[in-house]
Amino acid sequence: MPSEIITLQLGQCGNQIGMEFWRQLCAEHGISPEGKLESFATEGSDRKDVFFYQADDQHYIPRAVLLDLEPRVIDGIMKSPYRHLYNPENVYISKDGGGAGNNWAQGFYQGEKLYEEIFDIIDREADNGDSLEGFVLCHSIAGGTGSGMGSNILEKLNDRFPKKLIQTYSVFPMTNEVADVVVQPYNSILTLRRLTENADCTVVLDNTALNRIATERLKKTTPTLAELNQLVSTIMSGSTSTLRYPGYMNNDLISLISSLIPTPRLHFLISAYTPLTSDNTESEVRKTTVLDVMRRLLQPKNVMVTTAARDRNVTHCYVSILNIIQGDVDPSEVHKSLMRIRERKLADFIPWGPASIQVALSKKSPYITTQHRVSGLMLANHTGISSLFDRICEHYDKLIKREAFVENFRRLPMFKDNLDEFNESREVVQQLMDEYRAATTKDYVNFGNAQSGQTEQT
Amino acid sequence: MAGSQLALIKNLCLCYCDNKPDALDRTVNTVSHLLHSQHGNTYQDDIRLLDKIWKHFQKYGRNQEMLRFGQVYARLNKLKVLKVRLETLQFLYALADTASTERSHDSISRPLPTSSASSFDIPSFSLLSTRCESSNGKENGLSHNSSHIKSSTSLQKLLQYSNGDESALSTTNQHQLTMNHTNNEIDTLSGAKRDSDEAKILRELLFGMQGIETPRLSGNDTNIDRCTRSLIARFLECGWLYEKIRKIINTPTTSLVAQAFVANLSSELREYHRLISVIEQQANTPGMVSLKKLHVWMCTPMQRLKCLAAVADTCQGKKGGQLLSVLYMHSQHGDTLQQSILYPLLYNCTIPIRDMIVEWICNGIINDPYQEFFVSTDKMVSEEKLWYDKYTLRVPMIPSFISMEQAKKIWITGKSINFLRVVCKDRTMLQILKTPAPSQSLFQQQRSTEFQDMIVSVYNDTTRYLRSILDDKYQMMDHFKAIKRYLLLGQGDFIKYLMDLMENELNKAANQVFYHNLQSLMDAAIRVTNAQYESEDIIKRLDLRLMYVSPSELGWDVCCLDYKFDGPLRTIFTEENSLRYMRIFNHLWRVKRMEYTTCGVWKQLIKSSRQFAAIPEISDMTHSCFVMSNEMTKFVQSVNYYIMFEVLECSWSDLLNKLMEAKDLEQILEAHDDSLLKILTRLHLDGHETSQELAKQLRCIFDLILNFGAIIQRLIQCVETELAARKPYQQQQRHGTFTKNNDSDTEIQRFHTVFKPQLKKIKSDFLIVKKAFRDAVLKFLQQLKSHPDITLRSLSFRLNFNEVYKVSHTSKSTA
Repeated sequence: MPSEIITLQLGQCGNQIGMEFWRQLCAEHGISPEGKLESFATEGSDRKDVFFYQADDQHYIPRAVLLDLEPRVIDGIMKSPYRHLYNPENVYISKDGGGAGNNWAQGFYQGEKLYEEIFDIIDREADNGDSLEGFVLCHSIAGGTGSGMGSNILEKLNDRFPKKLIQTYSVFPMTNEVADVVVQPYNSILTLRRLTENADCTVVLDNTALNRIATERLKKTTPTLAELNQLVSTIMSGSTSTLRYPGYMNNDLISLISSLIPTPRLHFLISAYTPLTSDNTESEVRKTTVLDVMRRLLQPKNVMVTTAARDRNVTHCYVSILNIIQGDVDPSEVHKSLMRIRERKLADFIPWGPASIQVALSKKSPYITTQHRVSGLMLANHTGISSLFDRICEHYDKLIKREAFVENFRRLPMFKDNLDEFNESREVVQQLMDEYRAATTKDYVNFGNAQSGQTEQT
Repeated sequence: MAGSQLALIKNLCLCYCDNKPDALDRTVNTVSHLLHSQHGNTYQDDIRLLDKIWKHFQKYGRNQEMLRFGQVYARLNKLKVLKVRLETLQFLYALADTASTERSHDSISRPLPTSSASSFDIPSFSLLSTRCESSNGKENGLSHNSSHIKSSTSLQKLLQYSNGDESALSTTNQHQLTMNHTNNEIDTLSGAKRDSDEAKILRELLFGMQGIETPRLSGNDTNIDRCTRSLIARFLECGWLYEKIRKIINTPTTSLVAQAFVANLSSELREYHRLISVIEQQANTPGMVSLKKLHVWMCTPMQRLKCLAAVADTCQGKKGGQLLSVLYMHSQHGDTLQQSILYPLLYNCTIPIRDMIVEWICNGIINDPYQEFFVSTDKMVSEEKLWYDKYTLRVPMIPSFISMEQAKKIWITGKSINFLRVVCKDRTMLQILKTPAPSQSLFQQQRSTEFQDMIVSVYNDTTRYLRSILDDKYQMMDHFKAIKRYLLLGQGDFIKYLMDLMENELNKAANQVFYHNLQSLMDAAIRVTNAQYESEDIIKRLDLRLMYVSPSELGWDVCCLDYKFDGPLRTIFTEENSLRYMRIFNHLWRVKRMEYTTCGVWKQLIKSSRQFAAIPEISDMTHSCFVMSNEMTKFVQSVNYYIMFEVLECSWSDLLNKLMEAKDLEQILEAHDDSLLKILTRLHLDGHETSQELAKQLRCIFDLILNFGAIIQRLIQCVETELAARKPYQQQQRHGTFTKNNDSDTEIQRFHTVFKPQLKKIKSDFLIVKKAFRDAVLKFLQQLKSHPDITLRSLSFRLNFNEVYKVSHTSKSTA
């Protein structure tokens, strides 16, 4: 089967959102928690083989690899009804079970140590398909395993599979409150460097925004982790829907992301979804036309990343937008909606190249009933994402100035001699932010000149 | 005694009347009346009675029956059984006389006059009869009786006429006639001398009125005064009209409708003859008929003749529906007389066409020996083209009282039946029409909807059945969907994989591409992708076709997916449509290939970005490549999104709606045709001048994209060799053995002599492509603006959503 995608779930957060993702996919494709095709799932226009493969007994098995350094979350999955869904050989928990202690360096080091075992699994899984298209990595950048081991795996994946696409769904930590993990800014900066250099596409899931959406849109005072994960899985399943329901366009990952990402580093995507509903709340959104959906997707309150429209005298703008509209849509509505959006100037675009709102239509799963005629997902490349990095850098700078909590890092080989890794990472993130800001101006076409000039000077 | 007689009569009449109760009553009354009034027994022997009977036959022009009567009478004479022979004859004669009046009475009272036998039996005759009764009181009882009945029935007739809108006319007519009558009488009495002259003229006139040459009347006889002459001229006009109609009748016809028309005219003339003979009879009695009386009597008959002659004149040489149209035109007249004349004509002439319609819509058979029906058939047409070419609508033959819409419905109904029988091989008897709509409902549609109802119900039944056969037996909708999935690239995973597999093959020159190689690749693609879940029938139909090969073409240009059709589906998906689909497919395939190419280039660039970063000297070049790649990707994607929404999805949802609504095959074909044309136009494949230029420009842009792809290949190759060449040096550096100056020198030298010139060449090629691409896109956008199709113009909206191209255009011109 062409264009298979392997999902790697890393750490506590990665496995939790991964779990939700598979639950959602199973529901959409009519696959039972045991991996059997439900008797009602007779409508065969969906492609299950992108994310699943069939065992000898016709069971559907996710192309997923579950990795963690501590057993808690994966044990939870193994006690859930979905325990028979996964290939047990693909579930890997570090034998010492001690976890990474929320330390990026620890995670990275463990990843290094477990390299052989982990890549045995990944290689086997990769050989399983006819023509693997790429990997999807689910993790958080704040903890230890997802960020540290994730960074290590990202680097290794690029060496091992130089032609395969690597997409990540990265959960960014809350930045507006006191962090649960004190070294969170360190972990974030170090991971961000790997995301910048080693991933081809990163879908940013900002915990701050997720919490905000959960409280505001879903009317939850204290959203539970499960609810947040459900939001994430909605995004993940929505953004892969065109791969799973073949149509005229966007049948593979590459066609989905190639127009979103203009240059290698500008690959951090924001996402939005509407209308949002949770299990027990009635949604306030009643009218769902294509225009309504597209307009709502552009509203910051529906975006899963908290970004600033302006910072440091820079007016941020969209590099590209892809809207995936699911449901019963009159195709002629799309053009009208686009016209309206342009007339009203609801979205600002880059001045240095063509950019537009691309709209893809996707089928809705026939097995899930929703109260909405149309739902929409937006994946967009917005220069405002740099403000999120900015906030992370701010926290990081405060910490690193005092060299607070670096002892834990110094204990590990990477930081034994010096803290250069910190500085280099900070530099990469700075360059990333600079490039995003540069992308708001017309001169971005000459950005390469400036870079080569810089390097020649130095 | 009387009771048993009555019962006997009743029994006898029962046989005569075919068990119709009202007719029975009437007949019983007449018969018993006759039996009672017969007591006078006025005939002493057979001879006189026989004479009367002969005359009776002659009067009604029934020579055939006269002969038969002779034979029967001879046999009756030989038979000794019947004792009251004379009385029987007498009774039968009386009965015949009443029956003849009864018959004419019937023909009027019946709603549909099957014959116009009484058409000349206008009010004046009733007067004529009553008059001769009163003035000739010694007439024998029998004739008295019969004429009495005759007059009474004529009056009845009058009253019935007056039920219609003609009451005023006929009553005044009658009144006038009576007035004239008395005046004439006075006239005749006073001018006794003129009588003999007038009688002579009259006798000749009667010949003249039958179109026989009368030299004395037409010549300049000085004995005849001017006043009389003008009167004579009038009567002779009747003769002329009579002769004219007779000539038309005698013209041989090759048309059923015209035959019906002629038959009708003949019966009209027969009636005219009857009139003449009655007048002749009257004229035998001196003083009964004068020229002036005749003038009055002939008034209406002449109008009738005139009207008939005029109609007959315009109808000459016409047949079928044309003739009906002419008749209908004449019938749409304010004059009630004319209306009444034309009604039976139309009625009878419509019958053959009505029968043809019924035969056609119920059995799909055209029984039209004289090419009069408005649907014609061409026996040479093949099964495949049956729907299109076998049956054509002859527009001039559509009677003007049948609307075009009805004619089309009729046409389609019969076609559908033939389509079912011949193409679908379905022999189900659809419907047997129990009662075909009466003839007059065709031309009196404002009065009754019977005809319309008949057409609509048969049309609905037939087309519904055909639709169900197409849907259920031939899965028409499934094939439409399959077309969308395969020929219109809707099955994206299959198309993508097919392209993956075929890439190498299709990069070859067109004449080196072989069907069997591609065929096996396609089968592989079907096996692996979701196409495998398709029904077997659809998979079997999927095929490839290689189009005409010209020397410069590549495999990409000639390879097309094809979908095989058979049976009735060939009528919907004709060869012509297949070719259209191939053109569409070829275009979509080309755009898809560009998407594929741009995505490939993007991926190569992204995946090489780390290598690029290792050589900071080229970062400006690589950055420009990324920007260019992004621009091209967006261009192709926009074109593709445009194709998906504005072209394919919109026309598809349109088509689906229309197919849902479509009742008959014609509407299905129309909807399909429409949507195909729409797609062709919106893909600028419609052959319009601007479209051709657009297509050319797009080809040019696509070539540039391919060029760019090749340049990127070279760039990556170049960077890879450079990095490989640097490796030893870098290793040395790492091991601290780089101190040797000449090593470093050779490294620098290599960089300057090998890598830099290569890069320079790539860079200049790249700049050429970059500039050409920008220019080409600008030109394309400009051309789009001037295209007449509004949807195509929306492509420029998509391509230039953030209006970057105008900006770049001005900045470039200033630069």
